[in-house]
Amino acid sequence: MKRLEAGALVVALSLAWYGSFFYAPTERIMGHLQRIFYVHLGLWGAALLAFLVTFGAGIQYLRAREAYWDELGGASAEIGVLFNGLVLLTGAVWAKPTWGVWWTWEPQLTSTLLTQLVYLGYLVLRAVSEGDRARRFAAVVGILAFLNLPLVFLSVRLLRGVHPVVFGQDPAGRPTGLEPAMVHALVMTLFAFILLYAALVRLRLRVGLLDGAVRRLRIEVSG
Amino acid sequence: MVYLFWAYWLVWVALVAYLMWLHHRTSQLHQEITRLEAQVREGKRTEPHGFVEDRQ
Repeated sequence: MKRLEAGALVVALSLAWYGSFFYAPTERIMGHLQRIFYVHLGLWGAALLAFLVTFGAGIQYLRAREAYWDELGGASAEIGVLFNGLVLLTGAVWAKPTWGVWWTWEPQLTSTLLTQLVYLGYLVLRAVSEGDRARRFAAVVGILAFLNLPLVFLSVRLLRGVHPVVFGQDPAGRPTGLEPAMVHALVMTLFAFILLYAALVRLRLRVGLLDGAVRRLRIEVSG
Repeated sequence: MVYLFWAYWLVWVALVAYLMWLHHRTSQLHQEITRLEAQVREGKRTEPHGFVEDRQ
């Protein structure tokens, strides 16, 4: 990681931390517990970006057949799964004191879990198969998996669940909204996690490309 | 407050662990590449004259 990149990341994460804990006001009903929301939604935004990159890389691989796009798709999906997994975990930690349970089969939670399982399947597929045919198949799965995401977004709006609606209207038609300071803290956190995603995907991509180089060298050595 | 602490702790532990794994894997792969490249060079040096050209 370059020094400038690392410095920018530390500043962004510090600002996000400051914004979430000190700048944003304490919510009236939930109190400090509501501050989980910033990291929860920030991670979700970055996970969406990660899955979007996997989708784009899949299309690009099918067009160009360059190993780089395949590696980028895999690297981005792995980080997306990490972030989405943390979304599920932070959501569970928030749900326990709020709803009294760690988990409920609620539309948005279920569709988020489904997304996680689909992308885990994509990663397993990549791990157990090699060759151009497998790469093409993985690219198609990466593209199709992304089509599941609008379902997550719409599930909270169309189906009557208990998950809070942050922007727009809740299932009862009441407008929802955030204090401006809360929006600023959310934007800071989202920005920090997007920067973190960019740094992690670059590092993971390098690991993937080095792994490919090792495989080629092993073939050269063995025969 | 305890739940808030756990949520942030979980996130940072997971992210730091992943970053450490990436760093470890990168240095492991670099070492492997150096070892294999040396093996390839050594193999080419010990091969009889003309063998490398034939293979190419």
